Amino acid sequence: MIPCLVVRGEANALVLRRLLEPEFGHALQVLGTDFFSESVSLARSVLSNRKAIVALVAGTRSAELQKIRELHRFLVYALVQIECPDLWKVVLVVPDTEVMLFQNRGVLCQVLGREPTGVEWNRGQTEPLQVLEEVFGLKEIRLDKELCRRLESVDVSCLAEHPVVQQVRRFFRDHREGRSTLTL
Amino acid sequence: MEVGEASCLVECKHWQEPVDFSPIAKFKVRVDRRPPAALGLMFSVKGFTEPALREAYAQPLRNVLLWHGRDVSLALRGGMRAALGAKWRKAVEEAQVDYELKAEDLR
Repeated sequence: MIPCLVVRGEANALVLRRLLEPEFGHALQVLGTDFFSESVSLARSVLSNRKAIVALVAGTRSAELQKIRELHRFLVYALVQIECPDLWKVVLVVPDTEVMLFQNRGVLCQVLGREPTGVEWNRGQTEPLQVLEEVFGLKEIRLDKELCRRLESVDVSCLAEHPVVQQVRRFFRDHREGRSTLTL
Repeated sequence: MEVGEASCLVECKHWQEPVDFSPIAKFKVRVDRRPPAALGLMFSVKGFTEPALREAYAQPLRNVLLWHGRDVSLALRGGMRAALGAKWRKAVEEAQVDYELKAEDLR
């Protein structure tokens, strides 16, 4: 079955799809969900239903180490109930996956349609969703749709070496080449 | 509500935030008071919180199925009976009370 990457947000899915497509093409399915809980449920469902390997990219929504540990433990528990740990991978992003857009000024500039202010840029490193919500005056699904619309014409290739992308790429590459690992 | 042969108790949450475990626990108690054949269907358009899922995976939520917004959309398109059948089958086969429906489940 085709390996799957699950992430909250269609915009995040669009970015990751673009970054992974050059190497994996249609041999990888990137699925975006509307809410966090849907990501977890979908990852579990794909694992059990399609018997496909799954990478779940999840925002921690907090920078507190204790909360991050608890979230990681929960996600590992949620997935290990369904399948062996070598068939899935949890990748955490602090605090939200949208932080990837704040890793390159050029990308952010294209998304916003203008140069980000110093405050937006700095806050975006720790509160990316809040900054985007404030800039566009939208939340959740509406914000996600607006980001998708704007990302259509944005070149995100410079984000290819982001640690999140690297971890996901390594996981799928190892499986493709028969070198699955047990690292959680 | 009757869906095919199944008698279901239904609770729908159209909240601004994801549903925590407390409403799920209360709903489960209501389902538990009914005969064992009764099913509990909890719908939440914003999904469920992480603690809610954590508890749902750890506690036996017998006869209660959790439905996300996308499950509802698919059920409306593909038919509630087929959707319930798919969710129930997964709950029985894989102990997945929060199984997320896919279009192919309803074909």
